[in-house]
Amino acid sequence: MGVDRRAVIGLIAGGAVGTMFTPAIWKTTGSIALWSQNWGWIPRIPKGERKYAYTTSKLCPSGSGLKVLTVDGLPLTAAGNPAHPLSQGGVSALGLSECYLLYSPARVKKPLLKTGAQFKEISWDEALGLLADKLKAAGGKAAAISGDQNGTANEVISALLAKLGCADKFFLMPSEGQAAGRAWQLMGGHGLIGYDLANADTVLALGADLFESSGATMLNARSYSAQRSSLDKPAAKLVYVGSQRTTTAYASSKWVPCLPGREAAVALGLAALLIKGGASSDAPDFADFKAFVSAGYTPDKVEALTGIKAEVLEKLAKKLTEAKKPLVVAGSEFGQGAPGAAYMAALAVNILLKRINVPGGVYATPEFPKVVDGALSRTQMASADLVKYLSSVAAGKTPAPELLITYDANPAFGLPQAPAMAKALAGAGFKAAFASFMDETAAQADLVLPASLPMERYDDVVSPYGAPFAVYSLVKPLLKKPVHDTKAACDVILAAAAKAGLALGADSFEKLLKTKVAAVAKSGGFIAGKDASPSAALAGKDVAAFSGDPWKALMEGAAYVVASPVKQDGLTLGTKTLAAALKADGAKAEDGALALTCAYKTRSGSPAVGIPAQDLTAVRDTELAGTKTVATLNAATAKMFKLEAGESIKLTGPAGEISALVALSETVMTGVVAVPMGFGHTAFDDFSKNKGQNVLAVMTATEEPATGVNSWSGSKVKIAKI
Amino acid sequence: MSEFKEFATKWGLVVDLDKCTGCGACMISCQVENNIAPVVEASNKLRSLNWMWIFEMTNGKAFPENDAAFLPRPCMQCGKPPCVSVCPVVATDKNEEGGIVSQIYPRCIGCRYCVGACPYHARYFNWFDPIWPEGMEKAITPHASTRPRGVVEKCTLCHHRWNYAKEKARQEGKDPSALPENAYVPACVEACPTGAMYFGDLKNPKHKVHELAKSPNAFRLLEKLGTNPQVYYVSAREWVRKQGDNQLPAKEKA
Amino acid sequence: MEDRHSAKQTCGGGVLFAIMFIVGLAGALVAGWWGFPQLLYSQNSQPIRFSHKVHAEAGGMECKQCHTYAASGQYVGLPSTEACGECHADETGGKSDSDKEIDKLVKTYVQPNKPIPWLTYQFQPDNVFFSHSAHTGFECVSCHPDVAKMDNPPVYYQDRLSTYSKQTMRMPGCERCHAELGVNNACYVCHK
Repeated sequence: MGVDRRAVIGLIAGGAVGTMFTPAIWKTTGSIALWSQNWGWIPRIPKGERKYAYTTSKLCPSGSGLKVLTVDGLPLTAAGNPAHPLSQGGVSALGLSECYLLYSPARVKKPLLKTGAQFKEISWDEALGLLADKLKAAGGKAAAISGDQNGTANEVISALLAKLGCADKFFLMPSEGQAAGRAWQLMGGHGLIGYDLANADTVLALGADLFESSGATMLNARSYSAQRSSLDKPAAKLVYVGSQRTTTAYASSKWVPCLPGREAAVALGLAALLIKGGASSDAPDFADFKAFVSAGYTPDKVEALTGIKAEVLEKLAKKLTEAKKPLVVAGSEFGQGAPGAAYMAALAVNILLKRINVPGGVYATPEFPKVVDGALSRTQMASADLVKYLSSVAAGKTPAPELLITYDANPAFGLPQAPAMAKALAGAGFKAAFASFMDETAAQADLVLPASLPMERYDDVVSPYGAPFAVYSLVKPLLKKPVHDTKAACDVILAAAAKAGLALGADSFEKLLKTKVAAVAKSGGFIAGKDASPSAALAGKDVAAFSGDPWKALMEGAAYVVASPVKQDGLTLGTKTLAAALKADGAKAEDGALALTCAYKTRSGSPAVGIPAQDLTAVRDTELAGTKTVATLNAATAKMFKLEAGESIKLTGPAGEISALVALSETVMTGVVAVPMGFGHTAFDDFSKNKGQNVLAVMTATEEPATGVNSWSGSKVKIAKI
Repeated sequence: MSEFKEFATKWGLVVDLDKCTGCGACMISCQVENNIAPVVEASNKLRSLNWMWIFEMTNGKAFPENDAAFLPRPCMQCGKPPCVSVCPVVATDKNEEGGIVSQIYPRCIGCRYCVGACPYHARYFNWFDPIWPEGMEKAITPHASTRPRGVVEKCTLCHHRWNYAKEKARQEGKDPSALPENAYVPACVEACPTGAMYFGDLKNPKHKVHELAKSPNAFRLLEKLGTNPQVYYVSAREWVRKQGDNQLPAKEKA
Repeated sequence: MEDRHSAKQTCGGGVLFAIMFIVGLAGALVAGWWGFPQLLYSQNSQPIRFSHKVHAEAGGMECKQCHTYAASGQYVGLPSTEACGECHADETGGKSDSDKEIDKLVKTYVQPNKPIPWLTYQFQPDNVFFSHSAHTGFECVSCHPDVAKMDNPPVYYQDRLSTYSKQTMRMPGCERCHAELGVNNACYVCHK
C-alpha cells in the first residue's frame, strides 16, 4: 500500500481540520494584532511610581517655583509650584521646558577645546588646568559675561574678576532689571525695584510686556488672574501702551498704540497733566520737573512724539488720578533695550502719585547679603553696560580682553547689532564658554566647558527684577547624576580659581549656597505659603518670621521672602538727567525709515537655551513661516511702502540686514514694522538652527546721554522689496 | 445623528477669551503631558500635531479700530459628537460618566472619517511615527500611550488626571464620584499663567464652571450645529461671541 | 480487470484517506495544543529566585510591607531595590543555593543600586490604565498567581510575537467582570 496523492490530500485535510480545533491560528492572529500595536521603534511609557519634586526654574527669568513630576527618579514634566510666590501655579514656556531640555540634541556633552577650526574632546582635568593657566596669565585683562540676572553665581564670577583686578569688566546680558536699576540709582533711590500688581487697582504698562518679558512675569500674570473672576467686573484695570498687541495687550482692557521707544514721553506727558491737576511732590527738584514737563510735554507735543492723541492721554491721566491704587510700569516691548529715561519718567509718575513703597505701588526691595569676598552687589552690577563695552572694543577704543569668560550667556546672538558684537567678541584673546548647549557663543569659543542644567545642579534665584518683595529660592539637582559629562559651572570656576591661586573661599558651590542661605535667613523674613502670602504681607497682614532650618525648607522648593521695603531718602524726580537724556527726543527720523519693534515670546526660548524642542509647535505661523521670519505691518503701513502680504522684504539696520516675509495685521500700529525675536540661530540643534533670522542684527544700540544706558527699543530700519 | 446619553457629571472647560494672551503655555504643557513628539518642522503648521490649538480672531476692522483675541481650541467633547457617529470600528465613543469623548488608538483603523466629521478640526491623524530626539524619550510621561503612524488622536481633557484624582480620593477614603473643584484639572488649565481657563463639573453648582457656562457672556463654538459641546467660552466683547457662534449676520444669537 | 482494479483502488484509497486524515488531524491537534505554545511562548525565570514562603513564614513579613500603595493611591506593586537592601545589604558568603542567590541579589542589584528587572505576570501594555485602588474589594489571588506559599517563583511565559505575558488578564476578562458587576465598560475606564 503506497502513499498516493489521495493519502497526502487526506493528511493535509486532516491537518487542516485539526488545526481549526487548536488555538494556533487564532492565537497567532491575535498575537500579530497585538504585536502591531507596539512597534519596537516607538518608545514605551514609564511605569514606576509618580512622585513630585519641588525646585525653582532657572531658565525662566521670572524665577518661578516648579512642581516636577518624576517617575523612577527621572524628571518628566514641570508645572508651576502653587506654593511658590513667584509662580503661584503659573509657569512660562521656558520653565515648562526644563525637563526635556536635559536631553536636547544641542547639549555639550564633554569639555571641548578648539584646535584649528574643529573642536576636540578633552578631559575635565585638562580643561580645568587650561582654564587655571589662562586665569593666571590674564591678570587684569580678563572680562566676564553672565547670562544669570540675579543668582549667587554672579557673586562668584565677579569676585574672581575682582581678584584678577578687573571687577569693572563683569557684565550681565542686557535686561530690564539693569536699566531700571540704573534709572532708580540716578534718581537717588536705594534697593532693587519691584511692582506690586497684586494690590494695585489700575496698572498702566508703558511698553512693559508684563506677562511675557517684563519683570516677574508669572507673579504679574497670577496677580492679574486673581483680580479677574470672569463672573464679576475685574477688580483692577490694565492698560497697555505700546506699538503692537503684545501678550500683555491681549489681556488688557485697553491697548493704546504708541511709537516704540517713546515710553518716556508718554510718562512725562502724564506727569505734566497730573501736575496740572494738582499733583505735587516734596522731591527737591519738583519745581524744575514741573517746568520741564509743562513746557516740553504738553499733550500735543506728546502726540507728535508718540502718536497718542491728546484726548487719549488726558483720559489716561484721569484714570490714574481717579484710581485709588494706580501703578505705572515702564519697560521694553521685548524685554530689553528700553532707554533709562523711560524707567525714570515712569518712576517719576509713581512718585507724583505717591506710589512708592505703598501697597499696589512701586517697592524698593532690600538686597540679600553677599557671601563672597570682593563680589559686586546687584546695584554695582547694574551700572556696567555690556553693549557700551563691546561697542568700544569694536571701535578699537578699548583693548579686547585677553580672557573672556561667558557663563550661561550667548552674547554672540543675544545683543543688538549682533554681527558687530559677535565680531568684537571674536577679538578676545582666549574665550572660555560655560555653556549647556552648543550656542553661537560656544561655537566660536576656544574652550567650551559643558555646564550642568538647573535640574542637574545646585543654584539659586535671588529677587528677580520686578518682584515687589525680596525673595530667595533654591535650585536643586533632581537627577542623581548629570545626563552627560557636565559639571556645575560654579564648581568649575571655584576649582579653577583655587588652582590658579585665586581661591574664592569655598570649594563647592553647594557649600557656598549653604552659607548664602544661612546669611539670607537672618533677614527677618518668612517662608511664603498659603497663610503667608507676600502680597498680603505687603498689604499689611502680619506674618510670623521664619524659624527653623532654612536650608531644609528651601530645598523643598519653598521661597524665603522679606516683604519690608527699603526706606528712601533724597529721592528726586531725576529732572536734570531726564532733560539731558531726552534732548534729542524731538529729532526727526531719517526719511524712508520705519520704526522697528520686536515681539519676544518665551516660547521662542532665550539666547542661551535656543528654541526648546517642544515649544516650537507653539510658535505661530505669523512669526515664522517654515524657515522664514515674518515681518508684520498693518495695511496702511504696507500701502505706504507699496508692499503686499507674502512678499519678501529686506530690513536694513546700521550693522546688518535680514530678510523676511510680509504679513499684514492690524495688531501693529501705523508706521511700525514688528519682527519676532529669538529666531535666526546658526548654532544649537535642528529645532533652533536655520529658523528665521535674528532681528537683533538690524537693531541700533544708542548710548543715551546722561544715563549712559544703551538702548535699542527705538530702532529704525530701512525696508525694501526683494 | 444617533442619540447619546446624558450624564450626571459633565466635565466642562470654560475659557475666558478676555484673559487669554495667546502665550501658548497650554499647548506646550499639553504636548509634554500627552507624549506628543516634538517635530523639527513644527514651524510648518501642516506637519505639526496639537491637541490644543490657538486660533487668532479679529474684528476685521482697520487700525486703530481693530480688536483681536485668541481662542484656544481643545476637543469640544461634544454632547452629540459627529466623530463618534461616523467611526466604523467604535474606536471613538462617548459612553462614560463625565462625557469625555474617548479615542482608543489600537482600535483605530485610520480611515479618518472622524477627522472629516469634526467641525472643530480637533482631530489629528498621525502621518508619521512619533520620534523623539535621541535620549529625549526618557522624558515621556506615563499618562498616555504613544501613538503609531496611521491612527487618529485628540484631546482627552487629560482623562488620566481624572483617574489619578479618583485614585487619590479612594486612598483618602473619599467618594471618587464627587470630586471637589480642582481635584481634577487638565494640564492646559493648570499651566495657564493668566488663569483664563476654568475646569470642573458643569452640573455641579459648587463648581465655578457651572455658573460661568450660564453667564450672559458665555457661548460655544458653532453652537448652531447642535453638537452641544462641553467646552464654553466667555467674552465681554460682542464681536468675539458672534464670531465664535459663527452666526450669519442676519441670524443673531437668540 | 480494469473495473476491479479501479474498485479496489477506490476502496483501499478510502481507508488510506481516512487513516491519513486522522493522522493529520491528530498531528495537527498535538502540534496545535502542545507544540504551538512551546513555539509561541518563551519561558523565563525571575532575575532572582525569590521565595515568598521564606519571607512570609520564616521572615514573618506581611504582604503590605513590600506591596504598598503610594499616598497618591497609585499601587506600587514591587519594592524598590533600596527596600531589599534594608535587609540584604551585605553578602552572606554562604555556600547554600539560597545564600548564593542572596549574594547574587546583593552583588548585582543592591550594591550598584540598580532596579531589579522583575517579570510581572500580570503585565499590561502601555494603553491600559489599571487602578488597584478601585479593586481593593477583591482578593489579590483572584487575578494574580498565589505566590505567597511558593518557594520558587512560577515560570513566566512570554508571547514571542506580542511580547505580552501569557498569564495576564485580557480585555474580555476585564469586560466580563465589569459587566457582571454592573461597572462601566466605557473605553477610557481602562485605556489611556
